[in-house]
This record gives sequence, C-alpha cells and structure tokens, in this order.
Amino acid sequence: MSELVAKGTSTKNTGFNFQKAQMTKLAKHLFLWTLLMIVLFPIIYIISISFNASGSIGSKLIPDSLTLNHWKYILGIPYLDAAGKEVVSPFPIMLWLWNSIKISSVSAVLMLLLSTTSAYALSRFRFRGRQSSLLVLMIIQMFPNIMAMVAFYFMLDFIGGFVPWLGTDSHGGLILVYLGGTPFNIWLIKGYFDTIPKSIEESAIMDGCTKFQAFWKIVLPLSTPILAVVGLLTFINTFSDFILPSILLKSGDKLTFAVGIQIFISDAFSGRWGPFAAACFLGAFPISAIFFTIHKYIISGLAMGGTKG
Amino acid sequence: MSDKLLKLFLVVYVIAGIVLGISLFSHGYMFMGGISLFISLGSAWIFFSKKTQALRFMYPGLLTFVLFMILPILFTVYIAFTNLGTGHFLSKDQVKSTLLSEKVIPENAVNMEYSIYPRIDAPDILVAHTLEGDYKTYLEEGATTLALQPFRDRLPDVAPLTLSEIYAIKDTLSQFDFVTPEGKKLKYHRTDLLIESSKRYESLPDGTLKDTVTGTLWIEDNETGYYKSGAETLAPGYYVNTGFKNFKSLISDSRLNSNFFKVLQWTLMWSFFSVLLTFSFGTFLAIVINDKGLELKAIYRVLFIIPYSIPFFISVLIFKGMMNKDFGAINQVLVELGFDKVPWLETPFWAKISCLVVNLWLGFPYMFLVVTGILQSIPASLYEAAKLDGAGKIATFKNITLPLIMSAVGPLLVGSFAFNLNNFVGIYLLTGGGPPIPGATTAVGETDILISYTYRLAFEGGQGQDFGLASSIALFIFLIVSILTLINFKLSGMGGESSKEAA
Repeated sequence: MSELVAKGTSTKNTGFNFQKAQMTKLAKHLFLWTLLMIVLFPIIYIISISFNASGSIGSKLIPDSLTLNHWKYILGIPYLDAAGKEVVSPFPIMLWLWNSIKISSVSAVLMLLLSTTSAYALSRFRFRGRQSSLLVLMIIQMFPNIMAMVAFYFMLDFIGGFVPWLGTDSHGGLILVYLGGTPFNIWLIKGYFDTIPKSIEESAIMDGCTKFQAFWKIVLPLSTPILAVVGLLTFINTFSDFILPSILLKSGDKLTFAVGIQIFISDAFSGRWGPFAAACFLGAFPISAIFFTIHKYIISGLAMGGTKG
Repeated sequence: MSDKLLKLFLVVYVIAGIVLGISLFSHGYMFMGGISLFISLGSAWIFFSKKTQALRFMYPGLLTFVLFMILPILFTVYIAFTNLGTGHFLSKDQVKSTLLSEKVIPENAVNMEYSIYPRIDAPDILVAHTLEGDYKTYLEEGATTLALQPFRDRLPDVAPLTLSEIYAIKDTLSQFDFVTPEGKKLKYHRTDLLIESSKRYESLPDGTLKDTVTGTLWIEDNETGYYKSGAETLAPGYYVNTGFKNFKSLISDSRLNSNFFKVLQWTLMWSFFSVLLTFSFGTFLAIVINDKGLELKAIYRVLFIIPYSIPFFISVLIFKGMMNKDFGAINQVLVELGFDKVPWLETPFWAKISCLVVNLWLGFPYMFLVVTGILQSIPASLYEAAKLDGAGKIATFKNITLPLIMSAVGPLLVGSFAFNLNNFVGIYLLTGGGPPIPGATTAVGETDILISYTYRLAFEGGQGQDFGLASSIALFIFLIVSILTLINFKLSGMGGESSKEAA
C-alpha cells in the first residue's frame, strides 16, 4: 500500500529481495521512531524541565541535577531555596485546578440532564417541527459560542445585577454560558437512543409506566456508555476552554486553570519555567487519560463535524 | 411520588419566572421582562397542556440553547449596529440622569454653618448661622423647599445633633432646597455647612440640556451618541444605533480597512494551510503505519495521538516558551545542529510559520486517526481484484486508496477549516496576535485572525474597548461559517436525518 513498501516488494520475491524488504521495514521503523522523537519532544522536554534543578527557559534537555522544588511550588508545599530561604508559592495554582475541575464537572452533569430529555424527544416522538428542529440543531452546532463573546459579557453583567452568583466573575455564570452548547450533545445522544429498540419501552408503557418513567428507568440505564462519553467530552471541552473564562472571570481566586496558568507564565516567562512545566504535566495528564479512554467516540463525534477542545 | 415532586418543582419554577418578569418590568427592563414572562408562561403551557408531550421533553435542552446560544447571537447582531464601547457604555436615559444630577457651585457662593435641634413630636429645627444673623427652618418630612426665616429668639434648650448624627441623616437633608429671603438656593454640603448650589444642567422640553452657568445648549445627537454643542461634545456619551457604520468603516475606512483585510486574508490562509498541512501529514503517517506487515502498529497509533490528547492551551503555552528566540529549546537544538537561530515569534513571516507549525503538531493526530479509520474500512477484496488485474502498488494507491480517502473526508476537511477559523488558542496564546502591525489605530497584529481581533477590540483595553466594531467582525465570522455549513451540507448530501455516524 505504501510507496516505501512498494519499492521493496514490487519485483519478484527472490531471497535477495526478501532481505531488501526486511531492510526497508527496518528503515521504516527507524523513520517512524525519528518522527516520534520530534513529535514527542515537547512532552519529554517539559517533564524533564519539571524535575530540572535549574529549571529556567534555557535549561538543557538532560538535567545536571534533579529537584522536586517545582512540584512543591505548584502544590503549595513550602521548600527551602538555594539560599536557604523558605519559599511558598503566592499563586493558588491548585485552587485554579480545582476551579476548573469543579466548573467542568458541574457543566458535564447539567449538560447531561439537559440534553438527554431533548434527545429522547427527538428520537422517540414524531411531532410537527421535528425534522426542522434536527436541522436547526445540526446547523447551529457549527457555530462556536465564542463568536457571541461580547453578548455573553453583557448578559452576565446584567444578570449579575440581580443574581450575583450568576453574573460576571462567578463560576455559576460561566457554567450557565456553557449550557447553551446542548445541540451537539443532543445529536450524539439521539444517535445512540435510535439504536435502542423501542419494544422494551413499549411493553413497559403497556404495563402502566408513564413516558417519563420509561425514559428515566429504562432508556437512560441502557445508555450509560454514551452518557459517559458525552459527560467526559463536555468535561474535557470545558476544562480546555480559554476564551470565555478569560472574559468572564476577574478575581485571582476564581480563575480557571487555563486562564490562571496563562497569566502565571506570561508575567515572567523565563523565571517560572520550572513550576510551569510541572503545572502543565499536572493539568494535562488527567485530561490525556480521559481522552484515551474515550477517543474512539471523540473521533466519531468529530466525524459529525463537531470540534475538539 | 416523584411525579408529584416534579409538578411541585415546575409550579415553583413558573411562579419564580413570573415574579422575575414582573420585577424586571418594574425596573424598566421591558425586553428582558418580556422574555422572562414569555418563558415562564410558555413553560406553564408546555407542562400543563395535554398536547405538548414532545415539547415537554425537548424543553430543558431547548431552553438553555435558546437563552445562551440563540439570544446571544441575536444580541451580538444588535451590538454590531451600535457604538457600544469606551465612552459610550450607558444608555441615553442613564447619561441624561447622570448629567441632570450634576451640581455646580457658583463663585462667591453663599454658605452657612448650621446646627440642628431635635424636637419631640414636631419637625426638628435647623438653625443656620451667618455674620448678618441667624436663620431657622423646620425640617418638614416630605418637603422639598424650605424657607429660611430670620431668627432672633433664643436657641432651643436642647443639645444640637452631633456631626455624626447629622451624617446619618444626610440623605434626607440632601433632598431639601434651603431658600434664603433673598431667593438663593442652598443645599446640604457637609455635616456643618450649607452652600449655594444649583443644577449644572436643566432639561428643556425638546430634550436639549441647557448649561445653567454658561447658557450653552447641548443638543442630543443620536447619530454619534453625544450631547453636542457645535463640534464640542459632553462626556459621557451614550450608545446609539449607528446603522451600518461599523461595517462601512471596516470595509472603506482607510485607517481600518487595510488591517481588516489583512486579518481576513490571514484568517483564511491560516485555516487553509492548517487543514492542508495536518491532512497531508496525517494521511501520510496513516498510510505508512497501515502497512500489513508492520510490527508495533498499535504502539505507533497510540504514541502519535498523544499531542491531540493534551488540552491545546497547555501545548501552545509550552511551544511559546520553546520558540523563544534567545533561550528556547528549539533554537538551542538548531544551534547545536549548526544552524542559525530562527526569530520564531518575532518577525511577521516567522510568526505565521510558527503558528502553522504548532497547529500542525496539535492537529495532525486527528487526521491520522480519521484516515486510519477510512483505510481500515476499505475492503481487502478491492486490493485483491486490483492485484489480479495486474495493478502495481503505486497504481493501486492512486486509483483506489486516495480516491476513497478523498470521498470520505470532504465534510471533515470543511469542519476542520471551520474549527481553525475560530482556533483562538492556537493564535492568541502563541503570539498574542503579534507582532503588531505598524501604524494600526486599533490593537491588531500580523497573526491576528478574526476571532482574536474580535477579542482584542472588545476586551484587551489599551486603546479603548469597541464592542460595536468587535461584534461586527464576529458577524463576518458568522457569515463565513454559514457558507462553510452550506458547503458541508452539499458535500454530505444531508438535510434530513443522518445520525448513522453517531455513537
């Protein structure tokens, strides 16, 4: 199939050519590993920096001496610096991480509550406007909500005048904004509901179960896989968002990890490179782990024209 | 049981909505109050009518979607036609009432020290002292004008209010006009001083504001959003509908349009090259690894998608440090290999290259995964048939593999284009939009794309915020995404139901 192999095997299969094919394969592995080294360089580099005692932006890839101080710094554990002075990070990095986790989890749970019922209606009921609702949802999910960033700012500012915990500079307000993104998830979940046979619910309804009970007690438990995927996907996307929290959140102790870490590193790029590297690893690892557990679903979701966070 | 709880919750919800609507009305927010009432009455209908079962299930997802997706988009359209921004933050009514509450203290203003003597069951007495003699008046609750009368009696036999006691009632005192026998109007000024002052502006019946000191007439100009007198304007301004002004200035204002077109052009180039690069490299890699005889396939497939699994903002910030010209890791490696240092993020050309390189790193695994999926779905029989027909490997690739990939990825490439169009993180966290375009009148740089330009105009401050202009740029994004959506519908032949790919 590949051109590289094509050169090696297109001639007749003599012993000499067999050896040549082996050589080609070896060359291919060599090529792929070289490529991998280049592709994974930033990740290896950042892990190395997070343990590097010098830990500045110009540090070498292979550290001269190791330290845990960068990790202590971001975890908020006091340590003694080279001059013997006790250092405690003035930045609430763990709080930012916690804020991100909190906002992302709450958004994910609420998103599931909001989109499953809509998906159920679109999957099970035949009503006027169903086809056009599907179409509208399909179209709207192409438009990223950040286009309306100015509007979000003023809407939350207005809401905050009445309900402060849903206004600007509040986690509640930020979550509220994320909840507008139901269409994509409704699509995903509806697709899954379509694969569950209706006969199960129908017999339950015959037995005197209401539609809502059929949905809640039969369809939802059968859909755990897609619910997990949508929940985790929402979690990842919310965690990875930068633009909305950077507009809507102001106070230092309310920032999300994305915004906080950007401010942390932009203030003093060189001096905080070590702790920054540790923080990157800390923030990236859980998300990466979640990604690998659901990446097949993410791809099929992307295949529908959605976006990744 | 749970049904009853649900009903109770719904009743509370609807009532809360109605109360909110009414309270919004009473605060003068007609539009918001209307929306609130509409939603709560609509909910009541949906949940308590017999005919609306489907809507009842649609409701929760639909509600947040309308409130936080549709409404903001409409709101953005509205703002795009206004001059909302620095100097024009308030509505006309708000600006007018601010101006009308402005006070002016004339030169040689009459001022009087005073004390207040409390009385039981009768209005307190205020006694004002001047060199010519004392005046008194009764602080009648609810009155606005109090006449100061000459006072020659003995002072009342009680202790006057202390300054802090007066401070506690200063809001009440501020409401009174104290009028001297000569007709001068005095106002509360400090806890021990009344001073002659008057309103700076008075409102004439036609809406014009008259400066009571200079006599200048300030006429409202609803095109620029200012009270104006000749060429002079009165701060603050208010926001007004400016029609197509924002769009016109983007397209034809010589100070803005060249930068705007530059940004537009780069946005399209950036999206195009991002898609081209990630797709080419991803496809190449997928084909190399999809070789039947190759060992370690599964390991390669995992390792090569690691970049995609990391939140973009983290990767981009890491690259920002690695691309530092003097100390960054990439230049260190280049120098060790005997090359010159590259000014990655510093010159317009290299900054653009940097953005594309980083985005290639971020995005190729997705294309790799997608193309791998397509390759695996091509039936082996196709290749066997080709082999029987005597087609070589290259011919097979050209005539079978490539056409099959291309026919499947069309909509995905358009989707990827749309994603990169709004890939704010990929640009802003790497270059901040910079390096700056020389001589630009707004915050804009060589690598700014439409969405980062929008962000900088609205939220970066520095040169003032212009929400109107920012929103009008957002509408351009909207337009481009609409076109892409249309193309995608054509490509995938959709329009009806097509949920087969989901799950």
